[in-house]
Amino acid sequence: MSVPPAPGGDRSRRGLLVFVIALVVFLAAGGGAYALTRDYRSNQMTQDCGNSYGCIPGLKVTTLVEALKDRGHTCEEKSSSWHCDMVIGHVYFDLWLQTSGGYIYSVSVRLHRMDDKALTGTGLSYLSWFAALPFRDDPVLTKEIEGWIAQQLENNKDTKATIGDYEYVLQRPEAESVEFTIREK
Amino acid sequence: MAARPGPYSPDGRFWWDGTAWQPVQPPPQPQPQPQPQPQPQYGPPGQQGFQQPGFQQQGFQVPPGYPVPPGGGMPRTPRPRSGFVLLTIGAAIAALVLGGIIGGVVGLTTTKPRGDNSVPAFAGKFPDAKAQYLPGVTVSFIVDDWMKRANKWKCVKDPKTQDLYSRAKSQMKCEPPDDRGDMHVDIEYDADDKVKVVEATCWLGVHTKACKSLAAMMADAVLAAQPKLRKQAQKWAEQNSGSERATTIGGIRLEADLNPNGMKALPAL
Repeated sequence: MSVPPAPGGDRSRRGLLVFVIALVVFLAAGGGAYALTRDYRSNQMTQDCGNSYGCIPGLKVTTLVEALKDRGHTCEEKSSSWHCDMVIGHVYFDLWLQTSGGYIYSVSVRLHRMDDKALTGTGLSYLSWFAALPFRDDPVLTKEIEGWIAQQLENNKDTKATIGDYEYVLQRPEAESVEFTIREK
Repeated sequence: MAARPGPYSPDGRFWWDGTAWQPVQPPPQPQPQPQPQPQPQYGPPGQQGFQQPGFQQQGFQVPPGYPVPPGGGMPRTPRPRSGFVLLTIGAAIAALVLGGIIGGVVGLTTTKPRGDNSVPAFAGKFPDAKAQYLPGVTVSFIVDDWMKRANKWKCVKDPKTQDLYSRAKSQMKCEPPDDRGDMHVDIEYDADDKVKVVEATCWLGVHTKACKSLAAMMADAVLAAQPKLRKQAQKWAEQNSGSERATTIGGIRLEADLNPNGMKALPAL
């Protein structure tokens, strides 16, 4: 005796309807979550670079070091860091880049034997360039940071500020010396 | 009465004739008969006497002649639509959670924070290699023209360069021909046209004519490529050689020193 089929196609039609609804919800939820996380990620000011460090997004330390070498700076790799320096006349430009996973999580700059005239020219240019590295795609913020540094140098005081996800510390240990540090807050 | 058909569908509305499902013919409706009006009786549900007019559900009693489904039970009530709704809601929630997780993970793993692997352009005043050298100054002019030809000084290359603050690759030391040792000129350089420092030192005493003259001549020599500024530099060096003052002329920083007394020419920032 043959097995009787299910009466009517009602049940299969309902099953198909449930599947279609679930598929639509799945696609909508997936698309929404993708858009949200993509937006969040693309607006992050730091990127995970291992060892719980947040690094400057996208910029590999080797790229920065090569650019500085092309500019005449002397660079040497140390343990988990790079050291670059340059002497112009009596002024010493000293740079330390702390790295993790090939990316930079801390920038420390020291300027020694720099008089006021040099500080407001080359010194300011040097400090501002490094200060803007985390926000190099934002010309407005870059300009604001440069203005902030110029103001702090003029004030001639130790200062600390939070810009985005970074902490900026500017110190004047001596009259002709400046120490400047940028690191993830 | 015809042979009893069967089997019946679970809801009792169809029967299987061996080849296809056939609808069950409804039994003839009995003629309505006057019924005595039931008296309402109250009591707990499930007990005799709990009856209300119109409360009796259709389909719970099989009318006479109505086929009994297999199993002998009464026909099932139709599955409620709420089952379908619950199934749909459950599937939608599962799809929402699953889609959200997958979409979020894909978004996080495939997107990088803004910022490419390139450095911004260097500003014009950013320190560069060219700024390390005295503009227009060459070793050949200082050594050959000023030291040897004009003053008959002796110049020798000093191999000890590792401790130089300027980090120059080469150093030349020039002294007067009589080996007095009371004055000398040092030139630190990387190449003939890449001079980093020119320094004149004098041990004959601050404010002595010889020391003032050496400082003035050195200032004149390093600004030889800028004739309009030579006299200004020469004058300033002569006047300030007995001090610790500094000035910048033509991109060259002139620094006077007292201990030891002398004059240094450096690239200015």
